[in-house]
Amino acid sequence: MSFELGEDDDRRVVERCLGGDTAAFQTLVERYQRVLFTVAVRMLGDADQAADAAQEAFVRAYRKLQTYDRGHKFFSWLYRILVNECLNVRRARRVLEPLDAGLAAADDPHRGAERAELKANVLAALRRLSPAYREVIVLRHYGGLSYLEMAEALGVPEKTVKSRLYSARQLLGEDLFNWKRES
Amino acid sequence: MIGPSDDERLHRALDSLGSEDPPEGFTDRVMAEVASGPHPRPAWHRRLVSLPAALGHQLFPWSKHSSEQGNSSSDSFRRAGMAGGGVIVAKKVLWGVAGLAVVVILAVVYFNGRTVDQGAQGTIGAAERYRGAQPSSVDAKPGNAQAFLQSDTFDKIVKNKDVRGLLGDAALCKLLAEDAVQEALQDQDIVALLGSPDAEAMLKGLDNEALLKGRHLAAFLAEEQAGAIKNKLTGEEKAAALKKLTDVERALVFARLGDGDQSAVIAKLSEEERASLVSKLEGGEQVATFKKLSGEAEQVGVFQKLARDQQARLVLKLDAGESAAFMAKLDGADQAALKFKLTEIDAQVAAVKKLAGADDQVVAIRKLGSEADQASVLSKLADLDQTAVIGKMSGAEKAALIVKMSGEAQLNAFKHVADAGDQAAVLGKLEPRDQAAIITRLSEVQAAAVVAKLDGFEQAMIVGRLGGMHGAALTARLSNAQQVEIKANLMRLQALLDNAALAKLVASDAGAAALRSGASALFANVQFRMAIQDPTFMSVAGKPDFEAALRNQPALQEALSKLR
Repeated sequence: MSFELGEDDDRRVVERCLGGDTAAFQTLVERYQRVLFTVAVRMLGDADQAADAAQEAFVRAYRKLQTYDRGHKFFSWLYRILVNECLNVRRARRVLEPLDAGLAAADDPHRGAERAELKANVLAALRRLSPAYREVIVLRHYGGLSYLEMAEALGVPEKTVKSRLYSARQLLGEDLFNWKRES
Repeated sequence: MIGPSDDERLHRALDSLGSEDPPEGFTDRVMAEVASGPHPRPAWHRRLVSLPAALGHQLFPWSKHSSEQGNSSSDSFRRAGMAGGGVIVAKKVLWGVAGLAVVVILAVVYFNGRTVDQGAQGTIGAAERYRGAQPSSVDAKPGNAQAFLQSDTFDKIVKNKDVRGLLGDAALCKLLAEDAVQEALQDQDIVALLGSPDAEAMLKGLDNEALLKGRHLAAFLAEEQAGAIKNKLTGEEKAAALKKLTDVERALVFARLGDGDQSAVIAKLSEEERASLVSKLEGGEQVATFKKLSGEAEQVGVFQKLARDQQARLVLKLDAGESAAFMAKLDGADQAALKFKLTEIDAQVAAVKKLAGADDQVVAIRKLGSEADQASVLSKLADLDQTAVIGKMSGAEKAALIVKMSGEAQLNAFKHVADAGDQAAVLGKLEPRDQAAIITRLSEVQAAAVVAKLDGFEQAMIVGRLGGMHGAALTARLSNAQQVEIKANLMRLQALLDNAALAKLVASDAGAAALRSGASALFANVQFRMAIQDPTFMSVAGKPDFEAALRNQPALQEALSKLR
């Protein structure tokens, strides 16, 4: 731990932004852009829409910074905004997500056929999950959030998060590896 | 039955998708949009905007029409401006405010015997500002900065020479306008304390204590608060005192408690609070605190509440036997995910090791997601690679990573920092426990070389904490001049820690917050000390309109220049 409460701490950066230092927000953008974008891509399945959602989440977060409760983690709050943004996008497009279309661009052509097949299967399995199940898998696996942080981000009790995650893993396992359903 | 290997397989499958890089220029686009739109306002601004609504209705009955269109005063004003008929209403309000400003200024000028010419210039200026500027909800309301500057109260305040001097100093005004200071000035106990003769020693101490600036203040306050917590409190009271602090502050204070006090506090925290505390601690302090949790169930409970990165970080800090035993206690899914994360770190280490030059290795390490991952990979490199990589990093960068390590890995990385000055910078950022662990394991000559590069306050803190033989041996290795300085700093530090008034100030939430905001410079200012003795100043010190006037520096300075 540093004696300095300053630069490494999200809350301090927020204070600086609220004090009029707009440029300080860049620290937060750089810190969280990759994980936010990954989560958005996994949730929406479209790289362009994911970039828009992540950008909108950052911009909204900045404009609403004064409402951020400093008793909570900044990134949990940011994730909540992103999750809402992704839900809005999904509601707006009203069609089945072209999950693989958006991600095809991110594929590495040099990867082996086996890996490509696994990747395609995982994407398809994720697409078949309901949004509620997909969210918990994405936030836990790609966002690295704890149960509590997921509960905060999704606005549901921690217990619900755990049970959704269990069910989502079970469904993915059944889909991908023919796990047998537990009675 | 689904077992850990199945879970691991699922994790591997999910991870095959990898993470995604945002499109090029993403940060620039976000920042461009952020810069072009409205900016967030701190809490004081919201208070300021909402305050005058009721007053506005009383002063401007015709504004009732527009206010019916919206819930808030700002909404009503904006909507009045946008709607066809509302423009007239908005203009009426503007001219009403301008008219009121004329009356107030004329009255102030008349009663204070100033020339009409000076007052008229100010009036025209004020009226022009109201008319010429973009109408905003703040400008249009009574009770804002302009109204305050034109008030009788302001006139009384600036008649006091000391206060006028204080308001003329932009840096002090800035401090005075800080939320924490404004809140502290609304606390009657603090106001009484600051104005009392008892506070003189404290204020003098702060005035002369150049050490209590910037980053040292947080460490000092944590030291002070830890001292207060150690004193005759029950475990429950200690925990309650810590709960009042923010997460970061709590960790700072906790790290400065002795082992016994730490255990007493942990016993009184909830599982979530324990997890939060563990996640905020760094280095060896994190592991030591985790090990203090009594019983397997307690450790597993806290562990499960940590984010995956933090879990991996913690497991890597345990020794091999401990981490294997601990992982066996986790359920299948958590075990698999953790193993996967650890495998991922091993893969990252292998990938970095394969790179030929330190330049490439540094670039690869920087690309890893978190500082914790970077620290894990760095600590696993061979000695020669580690020295080369650390040598390529900036001072702040290497310090940030070494802070996250613990035990042998941390000591090893510390030794790879080539320059004693850089080592001192790293040492200054470590948890007290890690500082002591490193200093006591370096040779006395090496330790003295590093400590000699620290500034006076840091030297005093470290020597004071080491105490006894270690402290004395370390001091003896330093030059005579440094020994004298350390002794003097230790005495000054002790005097501050023993200062009852300061302890009282730190013990109150508002006082501690004000000090953390940098208000020690304000409290130590002679003019401020004079000002807080002035009843008129104190009667308005915490008022929102005064706050607004302080923040509106150009208007404040303009008004002051007219009075000079």
